[in-house]
Amino acid sequence: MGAPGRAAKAARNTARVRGKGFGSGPASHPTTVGTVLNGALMVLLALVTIFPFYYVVLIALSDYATVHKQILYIFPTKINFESFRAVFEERTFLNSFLNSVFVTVVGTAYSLLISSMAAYALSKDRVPGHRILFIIAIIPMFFSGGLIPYYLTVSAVGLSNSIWVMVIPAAITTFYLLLMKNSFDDVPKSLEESAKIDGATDFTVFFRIVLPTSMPVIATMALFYAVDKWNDYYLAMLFINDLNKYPLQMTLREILNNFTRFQGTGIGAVIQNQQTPIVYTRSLQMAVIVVATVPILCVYPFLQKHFTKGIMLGAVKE
Amino acid sequence: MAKTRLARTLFLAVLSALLVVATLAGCAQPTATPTAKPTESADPLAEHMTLSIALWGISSYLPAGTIDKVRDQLYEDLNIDISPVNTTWDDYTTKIQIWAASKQLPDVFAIDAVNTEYLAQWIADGIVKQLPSDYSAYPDLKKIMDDPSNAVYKYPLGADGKWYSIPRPNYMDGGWSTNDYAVVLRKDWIANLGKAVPTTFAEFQDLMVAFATGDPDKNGTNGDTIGLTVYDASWLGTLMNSFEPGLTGGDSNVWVRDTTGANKWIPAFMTQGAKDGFAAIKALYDAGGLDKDFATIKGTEGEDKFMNGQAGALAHGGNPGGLYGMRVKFDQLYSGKNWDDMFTIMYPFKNYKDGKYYRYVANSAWSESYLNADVSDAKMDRVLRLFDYLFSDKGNKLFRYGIEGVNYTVDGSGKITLIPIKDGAGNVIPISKVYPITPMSSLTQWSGTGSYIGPFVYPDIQAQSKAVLDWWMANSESMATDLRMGFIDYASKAKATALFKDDLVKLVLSADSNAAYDTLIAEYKAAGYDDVIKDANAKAAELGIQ
Repeated sequence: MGAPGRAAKAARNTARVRGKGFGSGPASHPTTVGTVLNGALMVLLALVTIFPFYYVVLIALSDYATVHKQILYIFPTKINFESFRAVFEERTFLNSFLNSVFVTVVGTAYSLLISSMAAYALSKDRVPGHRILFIIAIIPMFFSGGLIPYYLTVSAVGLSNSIWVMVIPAAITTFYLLLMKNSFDDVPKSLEESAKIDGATDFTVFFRIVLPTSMPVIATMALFYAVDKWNDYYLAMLFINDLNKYPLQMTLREILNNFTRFQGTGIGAVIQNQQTPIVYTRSLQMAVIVVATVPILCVYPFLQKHFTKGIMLGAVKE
Repeated sequence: MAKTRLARTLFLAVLSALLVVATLAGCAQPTATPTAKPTESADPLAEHMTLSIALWGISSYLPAGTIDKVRDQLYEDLNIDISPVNTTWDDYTTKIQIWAASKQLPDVFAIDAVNTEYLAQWIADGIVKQLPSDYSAYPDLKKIMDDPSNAVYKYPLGADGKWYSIPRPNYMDGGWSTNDYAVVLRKDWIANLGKAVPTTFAEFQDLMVAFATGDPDKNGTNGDTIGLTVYDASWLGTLMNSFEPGLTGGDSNVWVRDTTGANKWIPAFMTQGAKDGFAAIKALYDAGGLDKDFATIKGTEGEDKFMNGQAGALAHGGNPGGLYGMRVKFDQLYSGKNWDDMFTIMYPFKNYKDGKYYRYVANSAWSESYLNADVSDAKMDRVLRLFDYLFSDKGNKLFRYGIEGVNYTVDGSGKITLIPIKDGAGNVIPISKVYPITPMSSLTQWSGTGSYIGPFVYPDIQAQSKAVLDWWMANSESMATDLRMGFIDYASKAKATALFKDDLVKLVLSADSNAAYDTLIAEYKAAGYDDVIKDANAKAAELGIQ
């Protein structure tokens, strides 16, 4: 290879190296077969990722005939909002939505407060018995007390049929507690010591030094807790009998169950003179998925910037 | 400095107190429900009572703060109010088992628990209340409890001939169950092929093969359609009717009297008719008349194939409830056409041995109601009066049609005509929206009988279905069985594990169904069915079941 060839190769290599940096202009991205293949692969991956969501929305907006008259259904040929109407017209929908918002907001705040305080205490060697407390905190990750004792305990403290049952007994998730503890372990001791020298108490150190410097993990845990609480239906299923106290997930499940039974073939499915609205069951299922998912999806963008950093915190212990 | 420290200490104390108060606020004890005392008055309804009832969806039937004249009339007539304890179709078993274990059962609860180990345990532990044997004070409830097809509920595991539950029947006559199993045909396809509705199994097989190989939908392509598809493989039991009527419902726990040998009770799947029926279905499959996917079809896949025009026949229910799902789809797919022009229910075939028609007889109840053992006798009396009321003609009409003169009228012949209430746009408002309590009729019964004889959403399928049912009742005799045999408790009952659907799939997909059947029966006998038959017959003799 001659000198011009070497120079051209060097220039290409330089362009490649430059091209790896963020913000490099289009001129530094020569189109190669690899780039095209890479782009195609990325587009394909994006399609594979996005298509299920697209299909959910597509079916949610379709009626039975539209879907079943076509073997492959990719593009909407007729938009039908009956499924969403069936969901939104449910008498308890708004109430249950507000219940879920309450449980998610209050429950997340409560869980974060309790979990972070507990994690901070467990991260301090000077707390008497912290190792034993740590082991006690970990045990529920592997062993459960059993459903009946749990039910009896929660009932005995008067939480049955109360919306607080979704907030108080579920205040701490041990795994999240561990992540927080590991993160707090990494806060330099010198920071706390200097604050102490300036007269700060443990609470001052925790609220004014440790928490602000741990925002990534706090934001990540907030997202985890919020998603958990938004999706939770099990505690409500066990303890709540009053429809007005149902979270959204329970109400959506009820809507789906009722329509499936009325329009399916289960025993007693037909009650004459009831005339339920004609809604395509699969469309209703998809509408329920959309309604259940979209509100919590809206939280992600606000916490995304903390998320990647937060989840890595505490992962490596040096 | 000291002041600052005191302020900090105070702040921390207040913060801690707030946390504790916030936690305890959520833990406030609920108000205790007053317990009703037994009535001492001569009027059994003199004392007001609150009945807590757990039923699927009951909270939505009794929303607080709504006007409901049907609810008010019920409360007034029985001097009660109801405290709803909601269960859903997904969680009712779990919830009720937890309540039972924690002694927190409501007064009345609905569940399907017959022949379960946990019901036997509830009875043994005194968790559920034993009901009276004399129902003369509750005449409409008495009719239900005296019905032979419901009386079987005295015999499940642990009950030992005593009443512990009130069954929730679908029909007032167990014989009506026969029409729950049928084959629905594409009438227009039959006409397109120039054939007739089959009257024998051979004609049926011929038609199904013609559907699968010909061009019944006139799309110009042969062989792109299916013959018979199913809602689920167990619905192929309907084809067993002309061979072994006891398997019509796809249930291996049906017993028949075997008079060919030792004159004893045997499971219906062990008869010669069963063997021949399995062979016939296999022949249908081998000839290409049965959907190749029959073994794995679930949900509404089969119904969708049929309604979309991919299949010419569907094994499913022939009752209005069974046809309802199809009829809903028909409206969406075939707008402007008549149901009767396109679809018909196939009438039964004669028994392949004696040429008679045998109707399947089943206990039409599904699920039952139990009372908490802590319920007082006075409260139990009120609960039984509630059931009696809902079974009565008055209660039935009130809960199904609303208020007489407002929501319906009855002419001299007893025919009911609904008076629809419409919204501003002219749409009929369902009765359950006008009176939210009305679906609570499911506390006592399902709507099977009403779907045949009362006003119905789709008169065309109701008329079609009723015609077949009437034909059954006029032209067939009951199959030879005693429904108690499926309920009685005996030592080896746990070994009776055969499942019709699994056996059917295994035999149809085998190389030789007759040889496979013989092997299957030998395996069942070796696995304990010899003991099952022996013990069941001994128990039947003890109870006088012949």
